[in-house]
Amino acid sequence: MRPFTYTCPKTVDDALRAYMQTSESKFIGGGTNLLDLMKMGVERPPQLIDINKLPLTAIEERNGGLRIGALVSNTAAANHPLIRTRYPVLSQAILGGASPQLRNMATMGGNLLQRTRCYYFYDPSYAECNKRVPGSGCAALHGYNRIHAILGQSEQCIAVHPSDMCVALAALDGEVQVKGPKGERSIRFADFHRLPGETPQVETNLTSGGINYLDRFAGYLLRTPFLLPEGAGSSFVCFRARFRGGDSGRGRGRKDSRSANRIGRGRNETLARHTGREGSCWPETG
Amino acid sequence: MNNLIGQPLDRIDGRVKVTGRAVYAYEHDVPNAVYAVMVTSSIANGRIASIETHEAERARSVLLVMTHQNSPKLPAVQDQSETSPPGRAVQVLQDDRVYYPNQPIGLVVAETFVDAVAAAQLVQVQYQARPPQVDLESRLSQGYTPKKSGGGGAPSTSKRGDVEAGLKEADQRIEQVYWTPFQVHNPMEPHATIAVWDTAQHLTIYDATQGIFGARGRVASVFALPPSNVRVISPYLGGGFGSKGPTWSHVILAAMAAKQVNRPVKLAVTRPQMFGPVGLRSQTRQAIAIGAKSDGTITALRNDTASHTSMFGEFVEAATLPTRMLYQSSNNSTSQVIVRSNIGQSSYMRAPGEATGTFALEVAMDEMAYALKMDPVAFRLKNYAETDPDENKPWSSKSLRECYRQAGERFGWSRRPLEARSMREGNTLIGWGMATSVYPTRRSESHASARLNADGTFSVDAGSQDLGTGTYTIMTQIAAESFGVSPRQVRFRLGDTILPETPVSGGSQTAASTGSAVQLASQALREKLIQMAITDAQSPMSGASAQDVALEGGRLYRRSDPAKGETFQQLISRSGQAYVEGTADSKPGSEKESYSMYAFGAQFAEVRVDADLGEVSVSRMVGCFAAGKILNAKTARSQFMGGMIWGISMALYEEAAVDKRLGRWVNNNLAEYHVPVNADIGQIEALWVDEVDHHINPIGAKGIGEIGITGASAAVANAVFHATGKRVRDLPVTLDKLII
Ligand SMILES: Cc1cc2nc3c(=O)[nH]c(=O)nc-3n(C[C@H](O)[C@H](O)[C@H](O)COP(=O)(O)OP(=O)(O)OC[C@H]3O[C@@H](n4cnc5c(N)ncnc54)[C@H](O)[C@@H]3O)c2cc1C
Ligand code: SF4
Repeated sequence: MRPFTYTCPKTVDDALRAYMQTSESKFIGGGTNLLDLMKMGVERPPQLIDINKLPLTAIEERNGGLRIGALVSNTAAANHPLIRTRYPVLSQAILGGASPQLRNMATMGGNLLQRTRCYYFYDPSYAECNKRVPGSGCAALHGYNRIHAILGQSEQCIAVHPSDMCVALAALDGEVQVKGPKGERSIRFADFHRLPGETPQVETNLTSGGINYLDRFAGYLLRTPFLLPEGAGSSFVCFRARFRGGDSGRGRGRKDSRSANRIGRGRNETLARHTGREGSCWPETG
Repeated sequence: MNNLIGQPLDRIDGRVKVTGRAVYAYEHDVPNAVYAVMVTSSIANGRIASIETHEAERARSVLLVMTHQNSPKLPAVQDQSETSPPGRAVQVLQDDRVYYPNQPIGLVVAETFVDAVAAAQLVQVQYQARPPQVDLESRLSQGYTPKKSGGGGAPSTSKRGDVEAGLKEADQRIEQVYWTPFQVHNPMEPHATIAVWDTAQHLTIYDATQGIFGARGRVASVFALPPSNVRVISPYLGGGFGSKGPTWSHVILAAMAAKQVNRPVKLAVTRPQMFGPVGLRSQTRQAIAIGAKSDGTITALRNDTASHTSMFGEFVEAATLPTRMLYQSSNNSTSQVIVRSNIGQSSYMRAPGEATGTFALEVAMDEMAYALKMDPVAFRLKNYAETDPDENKPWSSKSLRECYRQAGERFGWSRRPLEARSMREGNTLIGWGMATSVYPTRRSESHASARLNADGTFSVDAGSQDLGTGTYTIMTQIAAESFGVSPRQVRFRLGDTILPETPVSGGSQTAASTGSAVQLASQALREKLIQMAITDAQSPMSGASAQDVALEGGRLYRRSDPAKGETFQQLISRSGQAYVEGTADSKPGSEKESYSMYAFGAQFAEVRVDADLGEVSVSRMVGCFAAGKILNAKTARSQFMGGMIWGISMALYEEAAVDKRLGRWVNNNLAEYHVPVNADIGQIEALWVDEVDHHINPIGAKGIGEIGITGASAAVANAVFHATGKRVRDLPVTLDKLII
């Protein structure tokens, strides 16, 4: 086993302190993505900071919108009455993904920061993967890539961000609140993830300016990943086409909708069909 | 007890399974056991240039790191010919050659599983890689014609009449190429073995295997032991689907390692390692030609199939077989070519040959029905084969007509509009499709014993295996009915080579072979007891005729005077024996020479396709099967449904995806290799026609494990065409093939 230490802080500041003490540490939410990647040897954190004791589990009304704690489980969010009634697209998107067991464990913060399911990224015995080993090349580019991006890709990386939930959040124009060693800030959801460009290893704008940071989330703890603006939710329904046909939770409510913006392609083709405003759904490719 | 056979008896093993007390291969509590983990190749073709094990050897609690550099050499596995059947040719660290991705190239043994996993990651391998050979289409010319085709040993080519002339004479011709992808069995329980050398010359193996006696024979030959010095134990299996039929490399490796470290060794194959070393279904390319007169009469039928085998062994995915015999066709030819590729050994997977062969044939039949503007069922009935056109023999029984009728009625087929893309609900296109199912009836030699013990208990033994299909349950039913007790009184044991020898649980033959043996042994015991009673001067039945003695409720008595009777215990105790035993050696007779024996079925599917997104779901499916006597209505229904669901999986989801540049499986885990989950499956109904067939075997069962998957993928693909007007000829039918 690769040895690592484990700590379970009670406050956000303790969590950040623990992070600062051991570089390359990882926060662990539900662990449904991180533990897999650790077993595969893709992530090798020297320290795991278990954030499940932090007080980030509330869903609250805020300025007519909604504030969702980073540790709210995917299941709790999808079933919450305020989310179901005001932002059905978010509920539908979450329920369209993974399985009940996984959604019970998965957190909102972890879902946002889950990593691509590109085969070549997931298995370190593939030599080429710019996202895993910058500069090594991209095995998917000329390999088996039918689950990869058709929009937003680069010569360096053609992987998609796998989250269904994030597509809804992009459509809803949410906001992400983070706290790092230098304090708190808010990032527009649409600005949160980056396109791969020249640096596919940098997946988010959490480390502003930190182009060569190998640690993508250096020191930032997502506190309230999503502040959802008032009234944004009602005009979307989520359509999610998958290679497997499970009907679990797809919204099929709006048959009149015809302006489909396809976002990503392949196994998890996630589409948001927008009934009111044209072109407000964003590719979240990262 | 009468009329037990056929009843929907609950699973005998249900309770121990849901309470977690059923012990699977890896879980046997063997004192002093250590853990082995395989190191497998990350290239598909080449040699190991160097393999560095020092770091792994020094890791915590490591006892052994075995590679080709230090492994014991086993003469018996070195002289394998290239035509070894699947599971014969094993890769057990004898040299530096790499033939396929995920080939075992090392084994790490440690005191704990965790330590073994960690140390395995420290083994450093350098390769001399060569370009992998995995593409079929570009290498068709490198293929060769095997001597035999498939498990039944049929010839690999066939010809009757003149297909070219038949095509010329036809009013409509369909000539198309159909593809089915690589598939991997992926039973829930991965392959696992515990090897224990009880003495230097005696080996016990707890193995997840569909064939304990095959495993025994294979292991014995590799280690040059008499088979009686090897015991294989396998009481429960978490599925097999053919992958656990042969004995693969990891079993031999575990025994090699156990000998080296002088401790029992546990070895489980990981999920990613399941893609390669333990068998897979080959991709097939099937070029089909059909010619038909405008009245629907088939004038020509041809199937030329190509499939892969490994670089070191031979397996034929015999997709041509249904084309030979399913429809009346006087001009008929088939051929089979196999191409050597850098893949693990292709092998038996649920309905090998028939699952793939019925896809291509039944889609081609559907295409022809459209060309003729004929109903697909009517077209098939027009060419119904009243006798086996291939072997020119009568069927032992065939109720396919009845299957079409019952399934069609249940489905509502008569309301189907002929034209494609003619049913729509808002943005959803709806389509109905159907196909024929067929699977041969097999039987092998099998043995069983039935004992009445001095304490009055009734125990029945047959080596055999229960894949999770219900073998324990149906054997208990057969024994109870044949002997004359209630199922609760039967102790049925299987899964151990100290029990009477039985065949592999494969080819849907367990009920026919071992079921017949259990029936005969139980009947023999019954007759023996009756003889004992009527010849025993002290018995109340002394001097009675055999017909006058009834056996019921734990006692024997005179039918003519039921008060005159005694318990089993009373009868046995006077004899002084510890038990009375009936045995059976049951083998197929000459029925195969006189009859052609198959199970048949018909499947109807409804799909719903999103008109914009191309997303397909199977909303309902009805299958009706005729498979001889149905031994348990509940387990049979599960088998049929399981087959149909796998057919949906084959139609829409499953594909082991290969990166052709690297020759590696990229989706070798259950997150990316898609199998359906509950939410993917709509309404599934399995019906059957009860057949009484006296020709096939004493128990009258044709076998039900595989018939359900045959034809199922074609029914779904045909329904997709009916919904969308798009013909997809390469599985799986994914949404991109429909929207682009
Ligand atoms: C079999 C399978 C199928 C799946 N199918 C789908 C699907 O269909 N659709 C879909 O959208 N998703 C799918 N997922 C992914 C699933 O949604 C994610 O694994 C899950 O959302 C991750 O959440 P988590 O809390 O478990 O994250 P973790 O695994 O705990 O963490 C993921 C990452 O986020 C970081 N992190 C977590 N919380 C915080 C925080 N508060 N602040 C800073 N960093 C943090 C971690 O350090 C880690 O890098 C699937 C996953 C599996 C295993
Ligand atoms: S697509 Fe991106 S993640 Fe996948 S191999 Fe290329 S660089 Fe790596």
